[in-house]
Amino acid sequence: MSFLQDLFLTVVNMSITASYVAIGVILVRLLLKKAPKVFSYILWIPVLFRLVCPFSFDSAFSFFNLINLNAKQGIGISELVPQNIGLMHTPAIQSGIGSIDSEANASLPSAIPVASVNPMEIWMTVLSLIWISGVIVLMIYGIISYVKIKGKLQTATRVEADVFETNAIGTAFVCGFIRPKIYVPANIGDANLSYILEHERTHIRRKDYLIKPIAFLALILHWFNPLMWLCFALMSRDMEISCDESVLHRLGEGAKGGYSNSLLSLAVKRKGLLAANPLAFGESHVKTRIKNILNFKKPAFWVIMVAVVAVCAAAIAFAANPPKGGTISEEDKRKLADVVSEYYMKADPANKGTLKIYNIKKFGSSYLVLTQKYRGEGESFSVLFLADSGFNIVAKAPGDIPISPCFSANVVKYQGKSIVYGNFKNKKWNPQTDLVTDVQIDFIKITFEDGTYVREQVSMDKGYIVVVDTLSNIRNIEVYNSKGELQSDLINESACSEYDFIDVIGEKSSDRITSLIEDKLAEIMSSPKNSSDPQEYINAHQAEYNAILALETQALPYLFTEFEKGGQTGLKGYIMQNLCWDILGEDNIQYASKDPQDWYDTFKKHVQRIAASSSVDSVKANNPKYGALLDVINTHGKDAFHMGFEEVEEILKGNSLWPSEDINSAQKYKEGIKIEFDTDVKSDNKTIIIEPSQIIKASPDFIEQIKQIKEELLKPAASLFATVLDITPKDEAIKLDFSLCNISGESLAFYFSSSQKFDIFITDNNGMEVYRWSHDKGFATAIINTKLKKDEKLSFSEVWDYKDNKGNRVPPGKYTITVKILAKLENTKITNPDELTAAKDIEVE
Amino acid sequence: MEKYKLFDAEYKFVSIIWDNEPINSTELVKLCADKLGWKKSTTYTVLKKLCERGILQNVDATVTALVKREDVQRYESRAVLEKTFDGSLPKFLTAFLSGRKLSEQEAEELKRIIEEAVK
Repeated sequence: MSFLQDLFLTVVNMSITASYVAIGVILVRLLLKKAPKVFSYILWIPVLFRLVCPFSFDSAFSFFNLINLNAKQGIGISELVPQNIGLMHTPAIQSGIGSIDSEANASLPSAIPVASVNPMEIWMTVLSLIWISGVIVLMIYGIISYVKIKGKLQTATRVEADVFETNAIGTAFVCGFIRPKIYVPANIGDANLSYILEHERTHIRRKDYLIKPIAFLALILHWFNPLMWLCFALMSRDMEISCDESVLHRLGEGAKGGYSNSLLSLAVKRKGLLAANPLAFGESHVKTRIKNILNFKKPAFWVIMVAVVAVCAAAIAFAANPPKGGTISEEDKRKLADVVSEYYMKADPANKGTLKIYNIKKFGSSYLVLTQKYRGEGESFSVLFLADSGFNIVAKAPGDIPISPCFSANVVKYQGKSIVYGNFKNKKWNPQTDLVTDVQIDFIKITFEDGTYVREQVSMDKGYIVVVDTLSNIRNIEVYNSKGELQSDLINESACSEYDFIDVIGEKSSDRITSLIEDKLAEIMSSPKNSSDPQEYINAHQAEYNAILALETQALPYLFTEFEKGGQTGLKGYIMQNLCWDILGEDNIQYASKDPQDWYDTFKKHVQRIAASSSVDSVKANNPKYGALLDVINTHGKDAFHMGFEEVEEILKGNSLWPSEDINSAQKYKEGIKIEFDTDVKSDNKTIIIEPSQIIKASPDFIEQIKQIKEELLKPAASLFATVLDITPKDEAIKLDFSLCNISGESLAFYFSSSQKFDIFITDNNGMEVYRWSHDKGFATAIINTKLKKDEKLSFSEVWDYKDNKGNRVPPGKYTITVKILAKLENTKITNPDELTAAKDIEVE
Repeated sequence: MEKYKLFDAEYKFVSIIWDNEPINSTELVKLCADKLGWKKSTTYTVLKKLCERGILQNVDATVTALVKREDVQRYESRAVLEKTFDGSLPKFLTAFLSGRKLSEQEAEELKRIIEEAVK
């Protein structure tokens, strides 16, 4: 790509842009017909700007928003014909007008890959040579005619300070660049002269003598564009007419007649002299000018105001490029880097690699961020993140890192666009020759099957993201150095992987992941309908299956939640089980399950055991997958738990079995409810541990269970026994006959936990214990099983000699004798203590 | 005696010499710069040209006229100019940039319009 061709293409692109502006200006000019011509004149400034300046500023107010110019958003240059059109397999230009484009593009020869020289390149060379020849010819012509005029003007004789007259010219004009002088034809008469001088001095005041040559230079550059010749002619006319208006404004309307007569006499005098020299001020369109002068009225203030506003707006709109939409502030870049960093921390806490942000690009109102965080081992890959306008990561796609070729290419088709991204390397390895060569990459060009292409400047250390408005497949990607030399291309040396965006679900958007997995699962389960092998369904929908797999740990909450609901023994269960196994990998359990639900339940117990042996927090920190399960158990059952918990609390409190210390519910929630009972309620220990899972799994069941506890366990069984005490006073002693009678109506098995089967308590009138039978006795610990048939009695007899525990006779008074049979039921039921005791009062003398 | 035809500028130049002859050429350059706004080179160019045509003579930096004022006719023809210039301008350029030349009828019509308008 030669400098000449670059220059030519730059000019062509400016020309196309300027043509749009020119058409716009010509239209606005029609609207401003009644307004002073100076406004029409000013309107040409944007056209000139577009013709000579390849750069512009950006404004949302740009006229180019109206026409769909897919202008290159790189560095402010509107690139409609790509710089490397000569190197394209299928060259294409974008003029913004569909029909013209297809016409023009159809006429562009496409490259035959085997040909060493691209025919388009030859064309470009020829065209740019023609162009530069034209420029040179016109330039020489301009210079020659200027020199010729200067030569003729040499003998012009001074009339006034800067006014010269000569009969070598037929009309008046200003000539010169630094100190412009006015030249008038000799003998045009004093009356005419004053008008003519006023006119030419106005030109000098307005610096028209500089503007016109600049415009002419622009015209020379764009000589191939007929529209620009029209523009030049119209601009010259607007310049003259606005100058006339300016003169009349100064001289007053009374000067109309004299002024137009002067113009006419000059025009009649002239017979084809120098009129067309673009560097001097000849007369043009005398008739139009005279009519305009005669119609001249000082414009109304509002007309001027409206025109000023219209012209300013139009000038900005024509001069500005549409906003790039590609600029991202440093602050936004920092925010994006932060969210990506945060994402890696959460999703892959074990990865201690350095986070690289290769590239950030706007995508509509969203952002694309190309990153890499290499953990130091295993396969190296990049990640393309999609972050929404609020800087939340919503999706991601993996990307390849180049190994043997010098660039990698990945594509994600998303929202009707192809997002192509990848990284570069400064060396490439040729597997055929085993040669490693250095490469320098400055430009990338991506061509699609449908002929769409893009060419973008890239930086080797940055990675690239290119967004293209097509869903067509990529035909080729070529990378060039700054000289336009091909460094590598896709077809011969690289490969392009197509990926899908995987939704990244933030904490707040689990709904999205749920719907995603549900959609994919539904697709997987849709076919083949006749198969009974879940694997066949998976095989038939590998892409959908992989899409769920790609969610990795993020898919687990949904899967666990589904299992948590229970009954997953069907096709869905098997697919979900496979997904879980694939995602869990080494974290799965070795267990021969009978169905997916069985696997899940076992796996859950496994995790709960781990959590119980350490702590929930440490499990979560060390194993996010187990953490996901624990979260599901907690989160999913939370509401049910609270409901159940309240119930349990009420029931237990009603039975005075609630622990005295008030544990906060969160603690109970994590660890289960641990309730210590005062008495033995279970044969094995004194505690009931209600695990959260029990509550979660079936909260109504649990409540029922608790109710049963209430009925069967916590409330003493009634009407099993009756204890009867008979007292027979004797001399200085009292005989106690008591018995335990089975009144339950059926045979009862019970036991004594030691050789002591009963006890006798005697309390005085104040309730103070004075005597206890067991006080001075020892008993062997042993389970003594006993059975009482229906209505059968177990009888005991003892004698109390009115002596207290210390062996002293008790003082006279009223005493209460209580006997307690220490029988215990064999099951975990408790007996009503009242049924095992009997008491009687006696009077001791 | 043959009549000499001089252009306006040449006539002005020769007039200065008639008024001041014999005149030193340095003096002449000063006078021309003052009265005509000419550069030194312009003065010498025109002087040389008129000397060649036998209208002036320059001997030892003293300039004198060889013709008398009454023998000279002020020349107001455009013919020469048209020969030297018109041919060098491409026709399409002229037409495109400046519009047509005025015809006699158009000039007359414009004249009438102006008169009516300023009446």
